[in-house]
Amino acid sequence: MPVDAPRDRPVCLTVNNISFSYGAELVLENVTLAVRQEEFVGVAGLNGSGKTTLLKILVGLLRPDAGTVEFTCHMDDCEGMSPCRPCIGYVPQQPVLRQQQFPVTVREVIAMGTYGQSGLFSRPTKDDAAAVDKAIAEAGLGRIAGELFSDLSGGQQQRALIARALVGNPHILALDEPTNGVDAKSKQEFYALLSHLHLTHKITVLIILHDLTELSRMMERIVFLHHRVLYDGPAGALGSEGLWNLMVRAGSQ
Amino acid sequence: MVFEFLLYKFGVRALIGGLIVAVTCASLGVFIVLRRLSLISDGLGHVAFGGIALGFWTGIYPLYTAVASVIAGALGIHALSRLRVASDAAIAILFSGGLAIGIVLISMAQSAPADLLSYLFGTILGINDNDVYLAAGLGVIVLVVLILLWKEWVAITLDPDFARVAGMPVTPLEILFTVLVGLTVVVATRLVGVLLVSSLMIIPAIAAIQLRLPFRRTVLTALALAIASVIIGLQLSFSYNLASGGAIVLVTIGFFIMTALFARLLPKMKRELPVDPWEHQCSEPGYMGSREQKNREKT
Repeated sequence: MPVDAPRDRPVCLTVNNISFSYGAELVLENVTLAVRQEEFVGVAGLNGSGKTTLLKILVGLLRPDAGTVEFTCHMDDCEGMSPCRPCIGYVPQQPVLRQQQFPVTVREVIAMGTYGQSGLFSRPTKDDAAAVDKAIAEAGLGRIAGELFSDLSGGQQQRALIARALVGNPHILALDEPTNGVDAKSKQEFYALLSHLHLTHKITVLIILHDLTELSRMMERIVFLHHRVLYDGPAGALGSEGLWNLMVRAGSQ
Repeated sequence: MVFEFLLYKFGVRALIGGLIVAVTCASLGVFIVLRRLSLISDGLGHVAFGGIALGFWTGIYPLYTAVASVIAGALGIHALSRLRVASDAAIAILFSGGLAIGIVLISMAQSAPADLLSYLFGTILGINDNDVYLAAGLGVIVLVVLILLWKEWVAITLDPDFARVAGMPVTPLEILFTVLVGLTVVVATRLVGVLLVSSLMIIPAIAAIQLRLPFRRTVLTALALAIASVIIGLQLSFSYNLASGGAIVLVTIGFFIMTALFARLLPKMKRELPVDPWEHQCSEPGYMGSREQKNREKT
């Protein structure tokens, strides 16, 4: 399938023939795709189609059984990363933070985003604190920065997790179904925030979504996955009807 | 007179040793509880018992063999997790293995050494200078490492996946953390005993967590509760001739009941937390990353 990536931007991330299985269950089979710098890519698919596994492989949480992941952008700015790769801001689907009543404030959660780059044994600096303040303001969380994270609504928690991912100035933002369990109004606010951040920070965004309407309306490019890539191209060419047909096709396989 | 145990040298020694243990245990406790590893200190306590028995059997100072055994136990837990054994199952294996090794070694020694009971139940009023020096040395090591890597422990405790993606060496740090827990268990063993060591580590932390404070203040509250438990427990032990380890742990449970009741009796203020109005709303909400949108922004 043709990839509708702007040609003036270099390729940032290349996935070559990745396969992965949990025991005998093959989850990903020969998945190949290339993502250009500053591109906004939505990954779609049925439950159990391998979306989260693919994202975890891309961010380095899982190792593929076969195939490779190559990063080719921002490689001169990978201090502290082993192996060398661009800085990735990760928003997991169900972080431990959302499963437990941790005694931790919104500010403390967002400050975690600065820890990876500052290195072992270092103390948070004034610059780190300023970056946290900026992220809090940008995500509109100023009035609740001192509240416990567990007291926030689902939408507010997601905004805090986005702010945490952004505070380290990532080159790539990877989000795994970030609007799960979030009401419609909060979803719209969340997408508006994400869109603004993408445009202003020039970040490459990879997002897993399962809402067909949102996917077809909002994405620049869609990768539809069902253990392998069934579609990879512009969302506009597919539409919600095309996406629905893909869902039916995947369901019958 | 209040704190009359301080009139005696053994009482002063007990207080110093107890405070070292309280600070060391409570500092790690909040991390252990939040990582749902409350049983790990129990498991390593039983491994320490095996090490202590080894010390008696070989004639080496038992706390030295206990240090070696808990470090081996900490590495063993992570080796088992690499074999995809669940963490609670790995701890159960250690728990039983440590105890079994201890029992076998004691049976090989024909008769159980009288001092062994002091390691099982703790004898804070009977500790000597060597015990205090060892507790201080290990306590300083644990606290220095804990403070130096504070932000890493926070990140790994709150969200290990995020910490890994951010480039932190999560697995080596997890192993180091388990070793720190093991060393703390050894420090506390002589004072409150193998059977009660996890209580001193876990209960002040759980009591502090009930209060729903920010993270750093939760750790400081756990520290304060552990220190108060040691002082009050020692006084009760001295005044009423009670087993000191048991008295200290009962005081920690008293604090837990108080904080749990306090947290639940406070009126729950159900309210919608305010979010700042966001000034960068897109003209078409939810319209993300399309080229038309970007062109509009550029112009």
